[in-house]
Amino acid sequence: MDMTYQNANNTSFAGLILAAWIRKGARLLVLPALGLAWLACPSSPAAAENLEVRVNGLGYVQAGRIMHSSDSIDYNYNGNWFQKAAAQITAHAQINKNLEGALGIGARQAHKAQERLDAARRLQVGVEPYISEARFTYTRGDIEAPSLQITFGYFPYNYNPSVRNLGLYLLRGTVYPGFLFSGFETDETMPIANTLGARLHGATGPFQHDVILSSQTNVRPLFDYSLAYIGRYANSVFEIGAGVNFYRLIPIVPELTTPRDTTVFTERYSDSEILSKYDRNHLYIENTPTGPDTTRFTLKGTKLASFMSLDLKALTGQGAMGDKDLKLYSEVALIGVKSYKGIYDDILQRIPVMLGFNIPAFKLLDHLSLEVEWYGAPYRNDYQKLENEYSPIPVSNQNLQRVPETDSTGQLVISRGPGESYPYADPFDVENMVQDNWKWSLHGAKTIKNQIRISAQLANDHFRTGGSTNSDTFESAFSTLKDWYWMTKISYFF
Amino acid sequence: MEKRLYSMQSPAMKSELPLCKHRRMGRRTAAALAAAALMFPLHAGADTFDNLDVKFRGAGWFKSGMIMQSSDTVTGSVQNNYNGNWLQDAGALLTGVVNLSENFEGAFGVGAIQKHAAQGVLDQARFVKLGMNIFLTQSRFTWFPEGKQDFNHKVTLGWFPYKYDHNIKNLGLYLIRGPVYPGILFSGFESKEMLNTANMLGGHVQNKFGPYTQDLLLSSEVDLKPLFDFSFLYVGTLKLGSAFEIGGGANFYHYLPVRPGLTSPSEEKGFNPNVKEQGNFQEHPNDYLYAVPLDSAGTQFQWVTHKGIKVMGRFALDPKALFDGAGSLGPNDLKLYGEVGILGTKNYPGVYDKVAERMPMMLGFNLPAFGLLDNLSFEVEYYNSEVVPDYRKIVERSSAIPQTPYINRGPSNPEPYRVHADDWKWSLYFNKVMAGHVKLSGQLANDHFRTGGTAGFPSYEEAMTALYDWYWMLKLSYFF
Repeated sequence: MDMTYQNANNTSFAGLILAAWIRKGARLLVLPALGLAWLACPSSPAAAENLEVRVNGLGYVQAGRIMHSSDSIDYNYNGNWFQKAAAQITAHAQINKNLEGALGIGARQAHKAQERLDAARRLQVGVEPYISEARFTYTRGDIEAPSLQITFGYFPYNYNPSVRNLGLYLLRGTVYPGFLFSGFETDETMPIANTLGARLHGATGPFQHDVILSSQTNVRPLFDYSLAYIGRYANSVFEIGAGVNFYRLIPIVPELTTPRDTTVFTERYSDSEILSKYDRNHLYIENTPTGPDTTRFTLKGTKLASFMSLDLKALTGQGAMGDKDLKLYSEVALIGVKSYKGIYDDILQRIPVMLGFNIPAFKLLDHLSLEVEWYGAPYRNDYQKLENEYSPIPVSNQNLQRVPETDSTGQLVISRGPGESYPYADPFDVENMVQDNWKWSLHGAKTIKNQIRISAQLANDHFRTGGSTNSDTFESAFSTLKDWYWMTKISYFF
Repeated sequence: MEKRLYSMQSPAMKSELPLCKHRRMGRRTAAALAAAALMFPLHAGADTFDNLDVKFRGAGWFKSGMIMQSSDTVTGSVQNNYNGNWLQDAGALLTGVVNLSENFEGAFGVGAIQKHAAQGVLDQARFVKLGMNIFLTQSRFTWFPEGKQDFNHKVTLGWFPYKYDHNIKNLGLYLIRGPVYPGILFSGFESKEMLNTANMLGGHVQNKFGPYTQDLLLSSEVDLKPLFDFSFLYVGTLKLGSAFEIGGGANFYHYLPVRPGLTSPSEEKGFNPNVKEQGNFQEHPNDYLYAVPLDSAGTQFQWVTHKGIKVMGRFALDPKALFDGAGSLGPNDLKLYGEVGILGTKNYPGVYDKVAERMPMMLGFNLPAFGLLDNLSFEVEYYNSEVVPDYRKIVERSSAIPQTPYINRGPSNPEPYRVHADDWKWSLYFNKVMAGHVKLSGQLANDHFRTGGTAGFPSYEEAMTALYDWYWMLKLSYFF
């Protein structure tokens, strides 16, 4: 605004307060808070005496290597070594029989990918602090099987604990575009806070229900609230569940979530420069006999997911097997129920499916889980346009300076200067990717004396390195079935 | 929660540590710390520290709010328009309080806050990132010469919390917050001074003599430049019965400079009095960095130093004590409290001319909440300052001369910053602790809250610049 002082609103003070209440977001915080206050108030002050505080700690060292990464045009991760060390401490306090809280912090030593030698020589190790938990939970009924539980704050949540790596589509990742996220022991699969907001959990016999209100803290636009419901039926052998996530249902800055302001969200290319439908940032324009038909997008969307698990030991008997052996589990999702013309018109390209199986480890390991995933999205799993332009459209070849040229043999190639060219085909053609449709992961872990855990993974998943010392990146390191990495970790905890 | 610590340093090591540090410190700093250290019985035997216990204190919170009105939306080429900006953070902290003996106590801890830059206008909002700030909650040890129980004397060294008026919820605390020249005020929703989080690095001696309590502090500057300078503070508080309390104090701010040349620039120290900030839209005496001209010819200059003396007087009145019983009122209800400060007793012609322009005053009143809330505090402040409340020149140029009122202005918006549009501030704060460990708190205010700027463009200005500016904030905390 090109002005110095704005005039005060012509509303009364009470009107302003009312406006604050009504404005999006305000109620989200106030209502759960007041609800919890109501639940907490009946507790007598005496209940706060003799507070029981339990301190848990965790430390680990992790190392691994990318053995093959096919798309090395811009960033070459082949042979890159990864290493991390971390420590965290969390305190759990039982305030009374109904109210319990946890809070803790941690720090991890981490680094960018080494990438090419020129970037690797500038590598530095940094320390990132993080919050392991900051939440409190009200429980009604038996603490082991509560009929009602309300959690508020920053807390861990995983609706499908069978998953070791792939899956968890409902609460991980974006909708438009439908980018998947996974990796080695991410926050979603470990007891580390991954959800900021509130959780309402209820149980009736074998049925369980979760309502999750979460604030977006990972992918831009930040702070938007999503509302999810997950219901499940479980017995000792079989579990089945389903859920819906109204992703970014309540945007904090609607103009960011549904970008329409053309002065802020500009297009990178003029109409004459458009080579593909992915070149635009916020529009899809189809030329029809009656004139151009423009489709506009939003980052909002609705996800659906269902999941199941089946313990096959019910058929074979326990024998010498561990508790988790022979478990079969699966998840399928629809990422975005709404089809958008041109970009998201094929519903089958928005349905990821994963299948997992715990290979019998006969107690030599706690589990040995093989997971396989198929996802037919044709575009590259790279959210740079979303992060930088708030674009609901995937990256294009032109965005990555991969406009094809015809070489001396008549082949279409992507040229990177004299003597360096790549075939204009999958995986270098990022608009028609098929070789990354299949992902797999083999994860194993063993806990020793209840305080030491050794875990490892071989996988071709959605692991993102985060880029090199040259720049940040947002793409998955793996783009063909030949790609893979390994990672190991030794943890000490109490 | 109690945990035993077994690996303590030997008495010999404890004796050597201060000596090692002395060699690296300035003589005056070393002398001050040595004097404080000599007060400790370092000869205490190792068995003193056996069987100690540690109690863990922690807090976790989620906070959100919105700036409803922010009048000054101009920052030059970048539009830091905070109107309608959403603010959110989550944090956790953990502190271990170590009961070393009947006479000694230590505390240490760390915390982390998930924070972000202000959104600003849409073009800035899209660059907002979430970051993590890590901080020390406390790192101190305290000696109680006569034991901790109902102590009359205590000595604290390290990084510790200090606040001389526990009635204050937002505005005030002029003696320990903000610089002297320029007299810029600091406040905001549950700032660190309002919580039990360290805000002082140095030493603190507290003595109680019947109704009179005195605090003597030596504090190292860690927020504003020039960094590390030491300030001396004295605060006295007299309780007259259970109804009335008065207090006063002085802060000899930056009186022990670590680099005297930075604290008090002069020609002898190599500074040029003619140096001005370049690029301001209109000429103003405050364009200068280290001295202001006393004549139009620019032949005489008034050098300005960061050193200065703050004085403060305060009172608190609890009328409930004057009547029989509080009835259904809460213990904090109906309390009236106030504070007045002088930010710099010395005038500097040409830049700090009148003491009346350096006198902030605040009045607070705890509205009756009848036990429904622990506090419902309304505070109001008046500060007739000529200073633009923006401390960028301190941070970036180590300058004790205020910011020009033409800051961020240009030909298209030539009106200067209205230094008197923000003379009045107010704050309505409430909190309620439930089940002993869950706190709900909130605030509506027009105070000295600073957003820190938008993504990529840090700023040091206040977000509330006119009487009708305000924001709200809500926080849900869990603590033990």
